[in-house]
Amino acid sequence: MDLWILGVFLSGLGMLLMGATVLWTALRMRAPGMTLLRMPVFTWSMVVTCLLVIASFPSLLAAMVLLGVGRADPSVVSGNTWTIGYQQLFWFYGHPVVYVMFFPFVGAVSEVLATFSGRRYVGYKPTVLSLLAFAALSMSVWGHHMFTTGEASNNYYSLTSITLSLPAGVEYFGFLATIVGGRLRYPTAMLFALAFIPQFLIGGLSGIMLGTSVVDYHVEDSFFVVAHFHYTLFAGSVFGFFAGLYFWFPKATGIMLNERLGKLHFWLMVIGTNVTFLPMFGLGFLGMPRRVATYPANPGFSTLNLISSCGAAVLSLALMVFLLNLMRSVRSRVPAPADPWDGQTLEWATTSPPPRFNFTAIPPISSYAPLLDLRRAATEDRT
Amino acid sequence: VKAWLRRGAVVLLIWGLMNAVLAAVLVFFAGETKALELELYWASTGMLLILVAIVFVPGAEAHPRQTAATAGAPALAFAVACLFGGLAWVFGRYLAFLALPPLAFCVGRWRLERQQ
Repeated sequence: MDLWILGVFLSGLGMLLMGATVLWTALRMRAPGMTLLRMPVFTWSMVVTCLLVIASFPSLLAAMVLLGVGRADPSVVSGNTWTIGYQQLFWFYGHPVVYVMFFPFVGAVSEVLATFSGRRYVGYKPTVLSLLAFAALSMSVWGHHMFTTGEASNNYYSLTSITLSLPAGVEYFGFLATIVGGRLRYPTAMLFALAFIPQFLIGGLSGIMLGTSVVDYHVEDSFFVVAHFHYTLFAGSVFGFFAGLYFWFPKATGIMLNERLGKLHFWLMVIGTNVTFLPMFGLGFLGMPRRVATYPANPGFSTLNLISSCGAAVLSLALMVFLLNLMRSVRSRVPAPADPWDGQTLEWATTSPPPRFNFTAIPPISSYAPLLDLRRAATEDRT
Repeated sequence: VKAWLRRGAVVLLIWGLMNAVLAAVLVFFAGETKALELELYWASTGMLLILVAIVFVPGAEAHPRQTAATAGAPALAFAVACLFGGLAWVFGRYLAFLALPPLAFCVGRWRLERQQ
C-alpha cells in the first residue's frame, strides 16, 4: 500500500512536470510566425489538457499525502476527513483527469477530419474558445460524483455538469461542419475519427443524464455509470487514439501501416465496442451494481452480461489484428513519404520520421493550416 | 494591446478568469456549500492566477526562445534508478544496489551530452 501511494504520488508529480513543460513550450516557444491563433487544434487540445493537469493534479498529490500520513498515524485525520475530505480531494483531480484522457483525442480527431475532408477545420476560433470553456467547466463538476453523499452542493454541480453540453455542442458542430461539404477520403484513421463522433456522443449524452442529480440517485454505482464512462473513454478516447495513431504513425516511424488490416481492426473494434458496452446501460437501469465479481441470475442480468462478454471477445480479436498489423508493418517496412495524407499542419512538411530539430527552414505560417495554404497558392500559380 | 494579447500568458489569464467566475458562482450556493469545496476550488484558481503573474513577469521574455533538446536516455535511466530506490524502501535495502548501474549510466550520459 505504501508503495502504491508512493507510485501514485510520483506519477502525479511526473504528469504535473510534463504538463508544465508542454504548456510552456506551446505558450512561449512557438516557431516564428506561429501565433496563438495559428496553432493547430491538436496543439490547443494539448494546451487545455496541460492546464487541467496543472490545476487539478496537486489535489491528487495532497490526497496521497493525506493517505500516507493517515496510515502512519491514524489519529492525525478525523473520521470525516477520511470519508468525505479524501473523496473531495480525489474527485477534484478525478473528474478533470477524465478530460485529460480525452481532450488530446478530440484534437487528434479534429486534425484527421480536416485532413481527410480536404478542407480547413471549420469553426476554428469557436472551437478554441469552447475547448477553454469546456476545460474550465470540467474543473467545476467534481461534486457530481458525490451527489448521494449529501456532502456536495448538488444544484451547483448539476448546473455546471449540464452546462458542459454547450462547449461540447460547439465542438460537435465544428466536426460536422468540417465533414459536410468536404471531399471525404476513408483511410483507417478517418474511419476511427468518424466512429468517434456518434460513439463519444452517446458517452456525452449519458453524462448529461448522470449530471442530473435526480437520475444519478437512481443509477448511482450501477452499470449505467460503467457504460457511460466506457463510451467516453473507450468508444471515444480509444477510437480517437487509434485515429491519431494510424494518422501519425507513418510520420513518427517512417513506416506505413497496412490499410487492409487497419480496416479489419476498425470494424472489429466498432462491433466489439458497441456489443460490449451498450448492454451495460440496460444492466444499470435494471439495477446491476458495478464493481462486483458475480451477480444473481434471477433479475435477468444473464443475457445482457453474456452479450457483453461476447463483445469483449470481439474486442480482444480486434486488438490482436492491430498487433498483427503492427508486427507485419514493422517487418515489411513500406517506407512512408513525407506527406502521405496531404496533411495541413507543419509536421507534414518534413521527412518521415523527422530529423533532429525537424526543419532546415521553417515553412511560412499564415494560418492554422499552413500546408493547405501552400498547396492552394501553388495551384493558383499554376492556373 | 494587440502585442499583449498575443502573449501566451493571455491563455492562462482567460482560463484562470473562467475558473474564477465558476468558483464565484459556487459561493452563491452558500447554503449547501461545504467549506472544503470552496477552499479546493479557490486554492486551485488562485494558483492559476499566480501562475499568470509569473508568466507575465517581463524578465521571463529575456529567456531564449529556442533551446536545443537533449536525448531522453539519462532521464529514463534516472527513472529506472528511482524505481529501484522506491522498491528498496518497501521490499529491502539490497534492491538499492540495482539502482547504481542506471544511476551511473545517467550521470555518464548527462555529462557526455553537455560536453557535446
